[in-house]
Amino acid sequence: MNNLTNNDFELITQLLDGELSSEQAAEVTKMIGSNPEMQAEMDRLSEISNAIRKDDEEFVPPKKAKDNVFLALGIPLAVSAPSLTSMSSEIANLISIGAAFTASLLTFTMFYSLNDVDSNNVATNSNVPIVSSYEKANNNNIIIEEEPMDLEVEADLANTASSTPAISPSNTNIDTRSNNIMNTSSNNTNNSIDLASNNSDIATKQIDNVSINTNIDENITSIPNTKRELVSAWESNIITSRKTGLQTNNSIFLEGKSITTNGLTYTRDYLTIIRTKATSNNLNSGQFDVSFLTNYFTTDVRGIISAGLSWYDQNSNPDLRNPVFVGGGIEYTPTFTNLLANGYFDTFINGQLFLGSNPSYKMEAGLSTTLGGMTNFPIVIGYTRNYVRDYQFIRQEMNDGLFIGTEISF
Amino acid sequence: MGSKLDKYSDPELFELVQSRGKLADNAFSELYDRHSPRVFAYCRRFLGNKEEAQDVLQETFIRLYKSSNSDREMTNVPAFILTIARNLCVNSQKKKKPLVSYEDYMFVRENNNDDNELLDLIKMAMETLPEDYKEVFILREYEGLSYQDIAEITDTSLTNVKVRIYRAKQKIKDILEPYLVDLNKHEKDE
Repeated sequence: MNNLTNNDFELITQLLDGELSSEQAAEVTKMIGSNPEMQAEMDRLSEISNAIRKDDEEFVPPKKAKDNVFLALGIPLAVSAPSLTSMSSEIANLISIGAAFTASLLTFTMFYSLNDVDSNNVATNSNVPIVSSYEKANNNNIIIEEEPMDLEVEADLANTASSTPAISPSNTNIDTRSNNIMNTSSNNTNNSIDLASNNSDIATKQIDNVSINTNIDENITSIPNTKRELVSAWESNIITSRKTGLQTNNSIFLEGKSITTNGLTYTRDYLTIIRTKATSNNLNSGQFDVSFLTNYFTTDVRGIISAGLSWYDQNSNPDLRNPVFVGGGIEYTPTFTNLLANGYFDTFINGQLFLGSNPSYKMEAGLSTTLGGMTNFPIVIGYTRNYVRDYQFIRQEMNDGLFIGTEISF
Repeated sequence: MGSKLDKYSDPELFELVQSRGKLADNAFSELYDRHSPRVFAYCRRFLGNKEEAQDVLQETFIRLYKSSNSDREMTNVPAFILTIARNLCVNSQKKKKPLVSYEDYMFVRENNNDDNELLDLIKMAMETLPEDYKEVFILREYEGLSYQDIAEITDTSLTNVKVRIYRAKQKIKDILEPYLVDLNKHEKDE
């Protein structure tokens, strides 16, 4: 049906693209004029090209992109247009808190409306970027997540100025910490797995174009893979993650303190969550066996029922060059003098402000009851769910379900 | 800014940036304003994902700025910028997340009316192209670049570019063939 050769097609394409010399063009035009098949072919290709030319779809770059560029280069934002990044931290805080209040309300709603989902039936999507947490791990693990140090405070961002923010692949603090944990965990030796091993990153790869590479490669900052070590211990999950952002936090248990226990040093620099899931191993006639934690508690019982929602960047490779995503979270926590009594001891709100990079969010919603008070290690009995907004929907990634253990977070 | 930088050519602006003088930042801002829409559009079409496109856009201009550290004489700023963007897009593509964002998905759906039906079909057909065909097709059809420019940007031979463009167009045309035939029929009937 179609007797045209590849050469004919090629000539038509090049004619339409203006890639033929005038002599060639005249010749091909003549050929087309005398060949209906070639004419039809050209009409179709023209139609496609014309449609594309009429494409008036506009892709307006987000305003914040410019600020991000300027911020990363240390160019005063005044040169760029004002946006969220140029707000004072107080305003940003207010926004965060405001958003967090709403989030808190949502949390309750979500918690009550969704808690009938069977965790076993919730598919875990392997496409979700691996983030900070225990939800990617098996039970009975300690997860130490290391993240670059750079994304600390806003002032640091402004000070990155002319030098490329070096995201150091190694961090002595973290390394030391890892070693501590490795050394102090008794059952860990054979279980070290690097969850991020397949996270090889674009930034370290060479750009194909040699001419560009020779000039800009030196400026490519490598983004280190997030290194995680998985260590088996206890009947619990311990999640330690270096903070990657700015937070305002009324830390209730760790205010300005550094706690050392069982070889683990907890500082304000780390988010540490220790949780133990209820499993057949620690269920005992309907009661949770928390004997493994008893060393850490006193008898002072103060009940805290808290619910919160954290909404934050879960990108595992924070990149200072594209730093601006502000997330927020809140935990509303009325504190009771004793459990189930309506005597409020204190009420506080734990607001958080995060600074991240790519807008991939994680929401964690839950309800927990904390027993503790005197110590810095409360028992937490709770129920949490994680909702991850990836690239399609906000959806539940994993139901943590009921857990018991202790939780420290900052 | 009142500095009338919009009257400067791209190479002049780049020189100002290189000078690190008092106008350097404004010159860079002008370059950004001038070229970012095009770069963003290119990235968006190439990557199909808004977030990734923004990341690449930002990184492109960061690298552009840093490249001004050298004594490079810049003659074709847009091509240089596009080359950076293209390389970043290719790299990004290599580790691309398989999912399309909800927003991006809805974006295509919502715009799917009769007026630009052909355009939507072209975009869908484009997505079926191998990456190296897709990129030359975008550079040619959307950016209007010459084969020679495309060869330079993609660091491939001119012959290779010719072949890729021709094959890309053929493939898109083949996919759209039934639709185009229908369209022509309707037009004739009318």
